[in-house]
Amino acid sequence: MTTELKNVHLTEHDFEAWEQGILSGTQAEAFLTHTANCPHCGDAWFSYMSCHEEALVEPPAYLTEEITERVHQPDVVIAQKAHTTSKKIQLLLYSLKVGVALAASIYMLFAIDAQMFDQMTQFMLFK
Amino acid sequence: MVKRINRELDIEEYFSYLLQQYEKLVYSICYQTCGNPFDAQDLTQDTFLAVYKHLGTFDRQYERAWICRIASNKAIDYRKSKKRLEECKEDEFFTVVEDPGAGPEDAYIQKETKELVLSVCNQLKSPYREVAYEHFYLEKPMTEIAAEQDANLKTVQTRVYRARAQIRKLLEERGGA
Repeated sequence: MTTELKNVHLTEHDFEAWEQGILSGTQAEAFLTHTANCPHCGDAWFSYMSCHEEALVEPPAYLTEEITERVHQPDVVIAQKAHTTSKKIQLLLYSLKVGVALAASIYMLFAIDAQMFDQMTQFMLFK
Repeated sequence: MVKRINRELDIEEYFSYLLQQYEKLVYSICYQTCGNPFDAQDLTQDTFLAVYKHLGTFDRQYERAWICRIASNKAIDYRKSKKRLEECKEDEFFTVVEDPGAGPEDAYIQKETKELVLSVCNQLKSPYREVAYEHFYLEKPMTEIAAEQDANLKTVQTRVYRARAQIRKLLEERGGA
Protein backbone atom coordinates (compact mmCIF):
# COMPACT_ATOMS: atom_id res chain seq x y z
CA MET A 1 0.00 0.00 0.00
CA THR A 2 1.12 3.56 -0.49
CA THR A 3 0.98 4.52 3.17
CA GLU A 4 1.80 3.12 6.60
CA LEU A 5 -1.70 2.80 7.91
CA LYS A 6 -0.96 2.93 11.58
CA ASN A 7 0.28 6.48 11.78
CA VAL A 8 -0.96 8.37 8.73
CA HIS A 9 -4.21 8.84 6.92
CA LEU A 10 -5.25 7.02 3.77
CA THR A 11 -4.72 8.73 0.43
CA GLU A 12 -6.62 8.75 -2.81
CA HIS A 13 -4.18 6.15 -4.13
CA ASP A 14 -5.31 3.80 -1.37
CA PHE A 15 -8.96 4.40 -2.23
CA GLU A 16 -8.22 3.78 -5.91
CA ALA A 17 -6.41 0.55 -5.05
CA TRP A 18 -9.43 -0.64 -3.08
CA GLU A 19 -11.76 0.38 -5.90
CA GLN A 20 -9.72 -1.55 -8.45
CA GLY A 21 -9.59 -4.60 -6.19
CA ILE A 22 -5.80 -4.85 -6.35
CA LEU A 23 -5.16 -5.01 -2.61
CA SER A 24 -3.92 -8.31 -1.22
CA GLY A 25 -5.85 -10.02 1.57
CA THR A 26 -3.60 -8.54 4.26
CA GLN A 27 -3.70 -5.08 2.71
CA ALA A 28 -7.48 -5.19 2.41
CA GLU A 29 -7.79 -6.12 6.08
CA ALA A 30 -5.44 -3.33 7.08
CA PHE A 31 -7.43 -0.91 4.91
CA LEU A 32 -10.76 -1.92 6.47
CA THR A 33 -9.32 -1.87 10.01
CA HIS A 34 -8.05 1.65 9.44
CA THR A 35 -11.32 2.96 8.00
CA ALA A 36 -13.17 1.35 10.91
CA ASN A 37 -11.02 3.16 13.47
CA CYS A 38 -10.21 6.48 11.79
CA PRO A 39 -13.26 8.75 11.39
CA HIS A 40 -11.30 11.10 9.13
CA CYS A 41 -10.43 8.34 6.66
CA GLY A 42 -13.85 6.72 6.90
CA ASP A 43 -15.44 10.01 5.94
CA ALA A 44 -12.84 10.62 3.21
CA TRP A 45 -13.42 7.16 1.76
CA PHE A 46 -17.17 7.64 1.53
CA SER A 47 -16.62 11.06 0.05
CA TYR A 48 -14.26 9.58 -2.56
CA MET A 49 -16.74 6.87 -3.50
CA SER A 50 -19.56 9.38 -3.78
CA CYS A 51 -17.50 11.25 -6.38
CA HIS A 52 -16.86 8.05 -8.35
CA GLU A 53 -20.40 6.96 -9.07
CA GLU A 54 -19.30 4.86 -12.03
CA ALA A 55 -17.43 2.52 -9.69
CA LEU A 56 -20.43 1.95 -7.43
CA VAL A 57 -22.51 -1.20 -7.77
CA GLU A 58 -26.26 -0.79 -7.95
CA PRO A 59 -28.02 -2.87 -5.30
CA PRO A 60 -31.03 -4.95 -6.35
CA ALA A 61 -34.34 -3.10 -6.37
CA TYR A 62 -35.88 -5.24 -3.63
CA LEU A 63 -33.07 -4.69 -1.10
CA THR A 64 -34.41 -1.46 0.42
CA GLU A 65 -37.79 -3.03 1.12
CA GLU A 66 -36.14 -6.14 2.55
CA ILE A 67 -33.95 -4.16 4.92
CA THR A 68 -36.84 -1.94 6.02
CA GLU A 69 -38.97 -5.00 6.70
CA ARG A 70 -36.18 -6.72 8.60
CA VAL A 71 -35.49 -3.83 10.95
CA HIS A 72 -39.16 -3.71 11.92
CA GLN A 73 -39.27 -7.33 12.99
CA PRO A 74 -39.81 -7.77 16.76
CA ASP A 75 -36.33 -9.10 17.61
CA VAL A 76 -34.64 -6.06 16.06
CA VAL A 77 -37.03 -3.54 17.61
CA ILE A 78 -36.50 -5.12 21.03
CA ALA A 79 -32.71 -5.10 20.59
CA GLN A 80 -32.81 -1.44 19.55
CA LYS A 81 -34.91 -0.42 22.55
CA ALA A 82 -32.77 -2.52 24.91
CA HIS A 83 -29.61 -0.85 23.62
CA THR A 84 -31.07 2.62 24.09
CA THR A 85 -32.44 1.74 27.54
CA SER A 86 -29.17 0.24 28.72
CA LYS A 87 -27.38 3.47 27.79
CA LYS A 88 -29.94 5.47 29.78
CA ILE A 89 -29.55 3.16 32.76
CA GLN A 90 -25.77 3.49 32.55
CA LEU A 91 -26.15 7.26 32.56
CA LEU A 92 -28.52 7.06 35.52
CA LEU A 93 -26.12 4.88 37.52
CA TYR A 94 -23.22 7.18 36.71
CA SER A 95 -25.26 10.21 37.77
CA LEU A 96 -26.17 8.46 41.03
CA LYS A 97 -22.50 7.72 41.72
CA VAL A 98 -21.55 11.34 41.11
CA GLY A 99 -24.45 12.52 43.27
CA VAL A 100 -23.44 10.26 46.16
CA ALA A 101 -19.82 11.39 45.91
CA LEU A 102 -20.89 15.03 45.92
CA ALA A 103 -23.20 14.52 48.90
CA ALA A 104 -20.43 12.74 50.84
CA SER A 105 -18.01 15.59 50.09
CA ILE A 106 -20.44 18.24 51.30
CA TYR A 107 -21.21 16.18 54.41
CA MET A 108 -17.52 15.85 55.22
CA LEU A 109 -17.07 19.57 54.66
CA PHE A 110 -19.54 20.50 57.36
CA ALA A 111 -19.55 17.45 59.68
CA ILE A 112 -15.85 17.06 60.27
CA ASP A 113 -14.13 19.84 62.19
CA ALA A 114 -10.59 21.01 61.49
CA GLN A 115 -8.97 19.14 64.39
CA MET A 116 -10.54 15.81 63.44
CA PHE A 117 -9.49 16.40 59.81
CA ASP A 118 -5.85 16.96 60.87
CA GLN A 119 -5.90 13.71 62.89
CA MET A 120 -7.33 11.80 59.97
CA THR A 121 -4.74 13.24 57.59
CA GLN A 122 -1.85 12.34 59.87
CA PHE A 123 -3.22 8.85 60.32
CA MET A 124 -3.43 8.32 56.57
CA LEU A 125 0.05 9.74 55.99
CA PHE A 126 1.73 7.48 58.50
CA LYS A 127 -0.23 4.43 57.54
CA MET B 1 -29.00 22.94 7.37
CA VAL B 2 -29.16 19.21 6.57
CA LYS B 3 -27.66 18.35 9.96
CA ARG B 4 -30.24 20.49 11.76
CA ILE B 5 -33.04 18.78 9.87
CA ASN B 6 -31.61 15.34 10.64
CA ARG B 7 -31.68 16.05 14.37
CA GLU B 8 -35.37 16.84 14.13
CA LEU B 9 -36.31 13.55 12.50
CA ASP B 10 -37.50 10.67 14.63
CA ILE B 11 -35.63 7.37 14.54
CA GLU B 12 -37.71 5.78 11.78
CA GLU B 13 -37.48 8.80 9.50
CA TYR B 14 -33.78 9.22 10.16
CA PHE B 15 -33.15 5.54 9.42
CA SER B 16 -35.06 5.83 6.13
CA TYR B 17 -32.93 8.84 5.24
CA LEU B 18 -29.69 6.97 6.04
CA LEU B 19 -30.81 3.92 4.08
CA GLN B 20 -31.67 6.00 1.05
CA GLN B 21 -28.47 8.03 1.28
CA TYR B 22 -25.92 5.28 1.91
CA GLU B 23 -27.38 1.99 0.68
CA LYS B 24 -25.54 2.09 -2.64
CA LEU B 25 -22.24 3.03 -1.01
CA VAL B 26 -22.49 0.30 1.62
CA TYR B 27 -23.60 -2.27 -0.96
CA SER B 28 -20.61 -1.41 -3.15
CA ILE B 29 -18.23 -1.96 -0.23
CA CYS B 30 -19.94 -5.23 0.63
CA TYR B 31 -19.87 -6.38 -2.99
CA GLN B 32 -16.17 -5.64 -3.24
CA THR B 33 -15.62 -7.55 0.01
CA CYS B 34 -17.78 -10.59 -0.77
CA GLY B 35 -17.36 -10.94 -4.52
CA ASN B 36 -20.93 -12.08 -5.11
CA PRO B 37 -24.28 -10.28 -4.92
CA PHE B 38 -25.94 -12.69 -2.48
CA ASP B 39 -23.43 -12.35 0.32
CA ALA B 40 -23.20 -8.64 -0.45
CA GLN B 41 -26.96 -8.28 0.15
CA ASP B 42 -26.70 -10.13 3.46
CA LEU B 43 -23.75 -8.05 4.58
CA THR B 44 -25.50 -4.82 3.59
CA GLN B 45 -28.54 -5.91 5.57
CA ASP B 46 -26.34 -6.74 8.59
CA THR B 47 -24.73 -3.31 8.36
CA PHE B 48 -28.04 -1.46 8.36
CA LEU B 49 -29.39 -3.68 11.13
CA ALA B 50 -26.46 -2.56 13.28
CA VAL B 51 -27.12 1.05 12.22
CA TYR B 52 -30.74 0.75 13.31
CA LYS B 53 -29.89 -0.92 16.63
CA HIS B 54 -27.46 1.82 17.60
CA LEU B 55 -29.45 4.73 16.18
CA GLY B 56 -30.97 5.58 19.54
CA THR B 57 -27.57 6.40 21.01
CA PHE B 58 -25.98 8.00 17.94
CA ASP B 59 -25.47 11.76 18.26
CA ARG B 60 -26.19 12.29 14.51
CA GLN B 61 -22.90 14.00 13.88
CA TYR B 62 -20.37 12.66 11.37
CA GLU B 63 -22.83 10.08 10.12
CA ARG B 64 -20.64 9.08 7.15
CA ALA B 65 -17.74 8.14 9.39
CA TRP B 66 -20.10 6.30 11.74
CA ILE B 67 -21.71 4.22 9.00
CA CYS B 68 -18.32 3.60 7.41
CA ARG B 69 -17.08 2.27 10.74
CA ILE B 70 -19.99 -0.17 11.01
CA ALA B 71 -19.65 -1.29 7.36
CA SER B 72 -15.88 -1.77 7.69
CA ASN B 73 -16.26 -3.83 10.87
CA LYS B 74 -18.90 -6.02 9.25
CA ALA B 75 -16.61 -6.52 6.24
CA ILE B 76 -13.75 -7.48 8.55
CA ASP B 77 -15.96 -10.01 10.35
CA TYR B 78 -17.05 -11.47 7.00
CA ARG B 79 -13.46 -11.87 5.82
CA LYS B 80 -12.50 -13.56 9.10
CA SER B 81 -15.40 -16.01 8.89
CA LYS B 82 -14.54 -16.83 5.28
CA LYS B 83 -10.93 -17.41 6.23
CA ARG B 84 -12.00 -19.80 8.99
CA LEU B 85 -14.21 -21.65 6.51
CA GLU B 86 -11.39 -21.95 3.98
CA GLU B 87 -9.00 -23.20 6.67
CA CYS B 88 -11.44 -25.98 7.50
CA LYS B 89 -11.37 -27.12 3.88
CA GLU B 90 -7.58 -27.25 3.59
CA ASP B 91 -7.26 -31.00 4.16
CA GLU B 92 -8.87 -31.95 0.87
CA PHE B 93 -7.50 -34.70 -1.31
CA PHE B 94 -7.35 -32.64 -4.45
CA THR B 95 -5.83 -29.25 -5.01
CA VAL B 96 -8.54 -26.76 -5.65
CA VAL B 97 -7.77 -24.78 -8.76
CA GLU B 98 -9.11 -21.31 -8.38
CA ASP B 99 -11.28 -19.99 -11.14
CA PRO B 100 -9.35 -16.86 -12.14
CA GLY B 101 -12.56 -15.08 -13.03
CA ALA B 102 -14.43 -15.71 -9.82
CA GLY B 103 -12.29 -14.52 -6.91
CA PRO B 104 -13.32 -11.57 -4.79
CA GLU B 105 -10.38 -9.58 -6.11
CA ASP B 106 -12.06 -9.69 -9.50
CA ALA B 107 -15.36 -8.42 -8.15
CA TYR B 108 -14.94 -4.99 -9.65
CA ILE B 109 -13.65 -6.33 -12.92
CA GLN B 110 -16.39 -8.88 -13.16
CA LYS B 111 -19.46 -6.73 -12.98
CA GLU B 112 -21.60 -9.18 -14.87
CA THR B 113 -23.58 -9.95 -11.75
CA LYS B 114 -26.75 -10.54 -13.67
CA GLU B 115 -25.20 -13.43 -15.59
CA LEU B 116 -23.88 -14.92 -12.37
CA VAL B 117 -27.26 -14.59 -10.70
CA LEU B 118 -29.06 -16.17 -13.67
CA SER B 119 -26.67 -19.09 -13.93
CA VAL B 120 -26.95 -19.84 -10.23
CA CYS B 121 -30.75 -19.53 -10.18
CA ASN B 122 -31.02 -21.98 -13.10
CA GLN B 123 -29.19 -24.61 -11.08
CA LEU B 124 -31.91 -24.74 -8.46
CA LYS B 125 -34.80 -27.17 -8.50
CA SER B 126 -38.41 -26.17 -8.82
CA PRO B 127 -40.18 -24.37 -7.08
CA TYR B 128 -37.07 -22.56 -5.81
CA ARG B 129 -35.74 -21.93 -9.33
CA GLU B 130 -38.81 -19.93 -10.33
CA VAL B 131 -39.00 -17.86 -7.18
CA ALA B 132 -35.22 -17.26 -7.24
CA TYR B 133 -35.45 -16.11 -10.86
CA GLU B 134 -38.30 -13.70 -10.06
CA HIS B 135 -36.67 -12.30 -6.93
CA PHE B 136 -32.89 -12.35 -7.50
CA TYR B 137 -32.74 -11.93 -11.27
CA LEU B 138 -35.81 -9.82 -12.03
CA GLU B 139 -35.43 -8.09 -8.64
CA LYS B 140 -39.10 -8.24 -7.80
CA PRO B 141 -40.04 -7.74 -4.15
CA MET B 142 -41.56 -10.77 -2.42
CA THR B 143 -44.89 -8.99 -2.01
CA GLU B 144 -45.14 -8.56 -5.76
CA ILE B 145 -44.28 -12.20 -6.43
CA ALA B 146 -46.90 -13.34 -3.92
CA ALA B 147 -49.53 -11.10 -5.55
CA GLU B 148 -48.71 -12.28 -9.10
CA GLN B 149 -48.71 -15.95 -8.18
CA ASP B 150 -51.70 -15.54 -5.89
CA ALA B 151 -49.65 -17.22 -3.20
CA ASN B 152 -49.26 -16.70 0.52
CA LEU B 153 -46.53 -14.13 1.29
CA LYS B 154 -45.06 -16.38 3.99
CA THR B 155 -44.77 -19.22 1.47
CA VAL B 156 -42.90 -16.99 -0.96
CA GLN B 157 -40.63 -15.72 1.83
CA THR B 158 -39.80 -19.26 2.94
CA ARG B 159 -38.99 -20.29 -0.64
CA VAL B 160 -36.78 -17.23 -1.14
CA TYR B 161 -34.87 -17.91 2.09
CA ARG B 162 -34.38 -21.57 1.16
CA ALA B 163 -33.34 -20.60 -2.36
CA ARG B 164 -30.82 -18.18 -0.86
CA ALA B 165 -29.39 -20.92 1.38
CA GLN B 166 -29.06 -23.27 -1.61
CA ILE B 167 -27.42 -20.55 -3.67
CA ARG B 168 -24.92 -19.86 -0.92
CA LYS B 169 -24.06 -23.56 -0.83
CA LEU B 170 -23.65 -23.64 -4.61
CA LEU B 171 -21.34 -20.64 -4.55
CA GLU B 172 -19.21 -22.18 -1.80
CA GLU B 173 -18.88 -25.40 -3.77
CA ARG B 174 -18.04 -23.44 -6.86
CA GLY B 175 -15.46 -21.48 -4.90
CA GLY B 176 -16.90 -18.20 -5.97
CA ALA B 177 -18.01 -17.05 -2.54
